[in-house]
Amino acid sequence: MTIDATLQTTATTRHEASSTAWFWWKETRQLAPLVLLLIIVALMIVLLNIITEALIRSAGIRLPNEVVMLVFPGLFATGAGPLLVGQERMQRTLQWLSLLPITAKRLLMTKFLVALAGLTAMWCFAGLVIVGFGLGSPTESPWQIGGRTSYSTNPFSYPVWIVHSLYILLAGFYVAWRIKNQFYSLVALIPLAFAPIIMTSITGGILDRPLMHSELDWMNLGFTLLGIAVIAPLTYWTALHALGADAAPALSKLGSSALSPAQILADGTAPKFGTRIAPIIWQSIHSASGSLAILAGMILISLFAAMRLASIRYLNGIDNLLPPLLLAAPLAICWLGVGVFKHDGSAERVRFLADRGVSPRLTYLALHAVPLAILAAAMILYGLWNLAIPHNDDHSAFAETLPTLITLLVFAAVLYSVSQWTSQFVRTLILSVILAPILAAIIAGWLFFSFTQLGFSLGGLVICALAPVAATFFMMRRYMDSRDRPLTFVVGGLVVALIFMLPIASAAWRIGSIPNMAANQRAELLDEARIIQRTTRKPIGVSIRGIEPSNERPFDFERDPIKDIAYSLNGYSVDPTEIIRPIDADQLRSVPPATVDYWGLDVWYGNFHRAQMRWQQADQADAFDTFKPWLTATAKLLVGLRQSTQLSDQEAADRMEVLLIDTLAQDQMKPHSDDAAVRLVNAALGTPASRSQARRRAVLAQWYGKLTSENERTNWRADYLQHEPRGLIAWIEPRRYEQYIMALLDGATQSQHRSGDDRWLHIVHDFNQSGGIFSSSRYGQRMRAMPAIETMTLGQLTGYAQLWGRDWEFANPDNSPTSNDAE
Amino acid sequence: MDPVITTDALTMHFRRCDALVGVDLEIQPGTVFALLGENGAGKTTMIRILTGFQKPTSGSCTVCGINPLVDPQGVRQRIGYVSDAPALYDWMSVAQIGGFTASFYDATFLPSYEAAIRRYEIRPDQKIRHLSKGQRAKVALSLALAHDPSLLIMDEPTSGLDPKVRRSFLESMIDRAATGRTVFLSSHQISEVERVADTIAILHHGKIRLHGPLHELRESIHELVIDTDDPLRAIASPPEPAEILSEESSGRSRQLYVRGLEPGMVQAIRDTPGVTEVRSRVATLEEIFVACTTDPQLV
Repeated sequence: MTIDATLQTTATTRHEASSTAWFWWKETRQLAPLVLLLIIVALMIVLLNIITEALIRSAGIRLPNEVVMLVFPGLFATGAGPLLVGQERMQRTLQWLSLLPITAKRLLMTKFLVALAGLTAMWCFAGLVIVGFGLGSPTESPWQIGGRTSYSTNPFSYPVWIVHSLYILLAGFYVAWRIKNQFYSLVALIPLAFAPIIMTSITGGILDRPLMHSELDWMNLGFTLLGIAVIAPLTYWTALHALGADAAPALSKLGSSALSPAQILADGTAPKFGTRIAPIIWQSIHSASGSLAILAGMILISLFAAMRLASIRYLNGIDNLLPPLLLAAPLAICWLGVGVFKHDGSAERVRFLADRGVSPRLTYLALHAVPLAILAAAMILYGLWNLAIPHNDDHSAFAETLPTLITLLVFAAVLYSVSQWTSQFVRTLILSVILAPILAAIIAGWLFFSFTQLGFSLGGLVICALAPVAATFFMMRRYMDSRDRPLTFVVGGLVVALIFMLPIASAAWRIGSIPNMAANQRAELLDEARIIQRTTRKPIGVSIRGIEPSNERPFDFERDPIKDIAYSLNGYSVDPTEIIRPIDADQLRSVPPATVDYWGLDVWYGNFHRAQMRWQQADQADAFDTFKPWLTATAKLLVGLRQSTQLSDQEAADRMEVLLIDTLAQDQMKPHSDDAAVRLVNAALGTPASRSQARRRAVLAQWYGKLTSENERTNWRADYLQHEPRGLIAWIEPRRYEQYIMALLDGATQSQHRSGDDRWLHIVHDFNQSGGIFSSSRYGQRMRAMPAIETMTLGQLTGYAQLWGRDWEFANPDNSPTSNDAE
Repeated sequence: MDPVITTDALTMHFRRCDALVGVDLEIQPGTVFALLGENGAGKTTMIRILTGFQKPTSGSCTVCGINPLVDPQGVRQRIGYVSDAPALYDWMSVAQIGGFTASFYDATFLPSYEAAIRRYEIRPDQKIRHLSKGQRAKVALSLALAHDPSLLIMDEPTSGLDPKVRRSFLESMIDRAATGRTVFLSSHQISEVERVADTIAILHHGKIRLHGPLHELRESIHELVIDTDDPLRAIASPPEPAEILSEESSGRSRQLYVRGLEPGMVQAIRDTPGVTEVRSRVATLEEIFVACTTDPQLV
């Protein structure tokens, strides 16, 4: 477009616009970066929310969207005044604006009204999001300003938030008009913004009683309205004063405003430095001595607040202000980071050093030296104090939860690192000061989540924490030469990608390292499982009556002990024939699949032995007849259980077989080896091959059942998942389960052939007893070498396959049947 | 005719220095007034006071008949002001800043501004932040001149301008004065001032050392070189009403800048015993400036 054409366009489109429209356009445009950054940050939080929810699938930490929506208008209110006024004052554009025929009143009112319109828009947006996405409730507000963080049934909290944001907006304008230095004005805004809450706490302290939520809301509203009434006229007069002529410096008593001789001498003497780095450090101290003092003070205030909190057990009155004061330290750490590339570290100022050939590395180190020294001093103070105080709940709940020095160090490193990067990335001081703590908090929160929920390693954490430092170091030469853009955006994108993708990649690698089935293997096994599922009859439940589990009997102080004894005795007077009646059949081959409650095995085992002992201790010749029903019933139950496609039933069947084999091996049984009951037992006992086949069927059926039914609760144990990162359980579980299924299938085969390969045992052990030592576990060789009858668990399933492939499977009872005619 | 600018004992003390000490000035309409002074002489402070940005320690002033401390807006509406480092909204384009500024003035502003931009060959769609220092100065000048102010105040207006534009600009200043408008410029570019200024004042250490129409000053100040037979020979100074602005000795030669030198005084010196030769000529403005801004103790 030619110059004339462009001018023509301007003339036709802009000339008609009124000065008010132009003024509003200008002010709105100046607010745009703040709004844009807040929107980006809000979207980042929402995105993180989505990522975290996707990762942990409806469990774990969830960032509250509602509070984001409530807080962001407040952040806008915080930044609007300093941006519209403070920045213009610092860049001297306000002076140029003052040259135009605009009255001071119009100028200040336009700026405020634009900010107010922006705040209204922010609240409309927040309200729409809260209502549209159902983030809040029309009758409840979970987030209160001040007071306790809990649900309030009083919906009045929302208006308090809105009114408070208006108060912050006014206070922001007040400090921006009052204090020319943008950083100081923001620091001054903090106590001013919290003044109503401080007043509420003081009032609570005076009343000396806990305040109801509604009382807190009313008090906050009252003090906030009072604050508005005070700050509004103050802002107006301060603005008028600021827009007027600068006052002449006051004269001293001697009629002169000259500096003291000492000051003149100090300022007039050229400092001498011993090293090349010293002058830059000297410069960074002197250019921001006030800011550094304020930030060090904020850290100390937090430390004092922590000391006080660690010395008291309950918060009352003014002590309620202590927890918010703890936030001063992280905020100060963020601002220490921001200070690195602001003041004399800003691009315009370091150019002075670049023009004189000072190396970027030296400059970089020097700019970081003072903030890091302050941080180090703070850490040492914290570490020493932390060592000196008792950490138990009896003393102070706060003291018990104090982080270790290492934890705090990592946290501080992340905050500082992100903030100094933000400072180099965002040139505007005010935007850096607002944005850095938000970004640092988000990234610190993400890394904390990654570490605790995704199993992100400490090494990875350090890499992510130091990535922003590496980025600023890498960009330092270009930054000093003011040619860091647009590369800085590329590097910034890489840093963000690294910080967010490395934990995800690490988690993906962790998940991917778990072996799972190959696609064709899975398809084949699924086909096999489908056939099993289709061809197997549903097992019939066999209820082993006896002593019920104690946890099903409510504890009763007034119960009758006689009844308890009778109840216990009843537990040992069960009739085995009656119990197996649902599956009873004349021939073993006719016995249908059966299933039992695993706890009932204990009852069966006890009654079986009781009957056995009675027979062995009796003098009558026909005493064996009293034991035979148990042999017969156990054999039939075993056959029924082996046909079941539930793994727990296979485990029960294993135990029935162990019990029967042990019984048959006893000397007292030899005279009865030709008894029909004994022959029935021998016929019921399986072979390694038949057991292997039954187990394989059960494993596949159970796997298929889990895959096809969300609600099906399998009995397999997953204790080891407690040791996996919580956020990855949903991802790890299917692969671990497949790995487990493969190990069980392998185990079924290995057991048949009595293989010495125990890799499958290790996997099953890890799965069932994660954290335990394999060699001393029930899967270890020492335990497996012992007789199964002595080591098997009853009543409680502590893990599948503990009895698989052990000696009992290959035992040949002396009284084995000579024929299978018992069938 | 009432003066456009008057200052009465204007004094401004800062912590480290006295920026202005009892400055009395009167600037007539239809003139190009140049305030000369070395760096730190107090020129910018004076302009800040005249434009209502700074209150003086004492004294008073009026601009276009208005006290800038009482009604700074009234002053700013009537003047055009270009500072030495104009702070413009660097995120705006050249066209946008013109449109924005024009909205506060009458309809003649924008065409005038656009014409100036066209003359300076600046693309209107360029962002201010992407302009060179000289281009920024041109935009600032265009903005200050577009509403055709009766008084134009400029602080080092030509710094950053290329010679061609500088010449054109300076000629336009003469044209403005010819139409009855007043131009107040502060500078230490002697050659430029010499070319355009009607009236000058030389400020040194916050004090007005010299003030008056340029042609009168130039005619009234002479360089006087006196050669003697002996370097230690004492020579009496020219008598009243002559005023010695500066004096410098080198061997047997002594150089003086004298205001109000009369031919009889030169002859009297020539007749003084031991004086071998006396030469006198009208001083250049640069020589006057140096003479006025050189501290005697440093000679």
